[in-house]
Amino acid sequence: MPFDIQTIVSIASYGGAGVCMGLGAIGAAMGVGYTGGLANQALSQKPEASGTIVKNMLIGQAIAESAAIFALVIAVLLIYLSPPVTNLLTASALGAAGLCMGFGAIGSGLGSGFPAGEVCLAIVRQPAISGRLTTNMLIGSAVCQTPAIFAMVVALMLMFLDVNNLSVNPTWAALLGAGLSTGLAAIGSGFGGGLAGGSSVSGIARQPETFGKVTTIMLVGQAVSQTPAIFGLLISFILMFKIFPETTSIAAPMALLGAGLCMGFGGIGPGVGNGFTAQSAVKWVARNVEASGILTRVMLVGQAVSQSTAIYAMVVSLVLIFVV
Amino acid sequence: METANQKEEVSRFQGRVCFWAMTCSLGLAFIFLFFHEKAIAKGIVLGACFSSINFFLMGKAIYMILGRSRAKANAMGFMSILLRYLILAVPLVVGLKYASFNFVAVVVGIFAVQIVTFVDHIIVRPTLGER
Amino acid sequence: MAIEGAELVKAAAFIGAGLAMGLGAIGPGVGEGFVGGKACEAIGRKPEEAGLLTRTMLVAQAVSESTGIYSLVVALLLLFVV
Repeated sequence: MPFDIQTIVSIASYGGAGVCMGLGAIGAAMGVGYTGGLANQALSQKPEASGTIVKNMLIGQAIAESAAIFALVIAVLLIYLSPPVTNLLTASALGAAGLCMGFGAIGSGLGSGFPAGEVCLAIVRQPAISGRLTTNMLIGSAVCQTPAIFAMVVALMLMFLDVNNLSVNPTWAALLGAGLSTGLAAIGSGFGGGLAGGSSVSGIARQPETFGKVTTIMLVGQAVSQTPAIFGLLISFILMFKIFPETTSIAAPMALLGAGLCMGFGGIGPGVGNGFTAQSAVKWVARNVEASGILTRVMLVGQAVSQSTAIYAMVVSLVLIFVV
Repeated sequence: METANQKEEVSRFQGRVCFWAMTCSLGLAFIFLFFHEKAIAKGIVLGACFSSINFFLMGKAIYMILGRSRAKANAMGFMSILLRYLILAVPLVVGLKYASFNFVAVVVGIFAVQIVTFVDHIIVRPTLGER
Repeated sequence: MAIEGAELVKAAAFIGAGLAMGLGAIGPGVGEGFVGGKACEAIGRKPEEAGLLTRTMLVAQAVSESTGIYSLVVALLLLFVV
């Protein structure tokens, strides 16, 4: 064999670090850019309030950037933490950790840009309640960061997993699948949560007295949008901690990799879709607060139907892991 | 000058956030020192220091870029992002390389600005009222 | 290690099943969410028509769901029949 194990592990960890930081910066960059764009729009409407607008823009950008800082932490760990290498599984685990954090930061960075941008416009509309708008924006952006935190948890677990006594052949694919499952599923959830947060900030700016109701329905909508990421986390945990018997076949690892990809891609769509539903529901609760009861019910029904595809993906993943 | 006033306001706000980030991290560090956890205390202060520097540069970069030509603004924006991430990577590398800094504490420390902002807007202001 | 043809087919079927369901879930997920959003908007404008609008929303989502079900069927065929 031309490469020894140490070389392959080094390639995987440096490659994983590059992918992690590269992908992880995409979402934060777009989110921060969106915030900056709306802040410019707000400045052109009311140049004399530039201090308050820039202040809120900085707060929002600092929060949107934290997804990229998570990716930075994982990338630095991948580069400088050289774990003791005993078998090839370490390479797969480190590469998977990089992929997981890289993909996982995209949605959160982009999503938390929406409330951060809307708050700049909202302050121009309602300067009197700027503190309240900032609070609402911070809550919305913080919930958007949850999928990135899930991805970071899975990445850290993959890095510090004890792989010494595991079978190499199917487990390499299981670890890769575990990374991809949470990483990809987090994209949709982060983005969807951001849509709901953004419309809640602009809704409160329109009708400040609906603050409580709008914040509540935003949190409900965002919580439902997080479900695909939680499904992804579940599949990742199963893939990481189930013991797979050693085999020489190529079908078994492909089934496990397929399970990870299935849940990962399958989580993107429902996450974004739930976000769309929550966005409209939050927007119209702010405009028509008497209909908040029926709007909440319809939102939950709509989200539940949209969630069903994520459930199909989870079922197929579980079949791939446990049945075949 | 109106713009100068506005710029002053943003600077004051940044200064306040950085001041509280450093104060809270130093306070936490003293608590850990009291329990003889020197590595954790040093890690938190190191992380919070660089978090504050990053946040300070973030605001300064905006006013440096304002009013430049498009190509120059693009280049400067890219450079400022690169510089800020390199600055943030420094405490992480130090935390990993030297055993006298606790790595987990450094990671908590580099989120000091975000944590202070949250606590300020979600816990302090609703209970004490707007300042 | 020689890989037999039948086993290669099995491996491709598994990963194909995963991708079929995974990628197939994106479209219906986004589409149904969009329908839900528009239904919420309509109810916000006209709360008294909520019953009719909810029913319409469910019908539209069911149509959009069918592509997700095709993906599920294809994935299960790849898993158990091939």
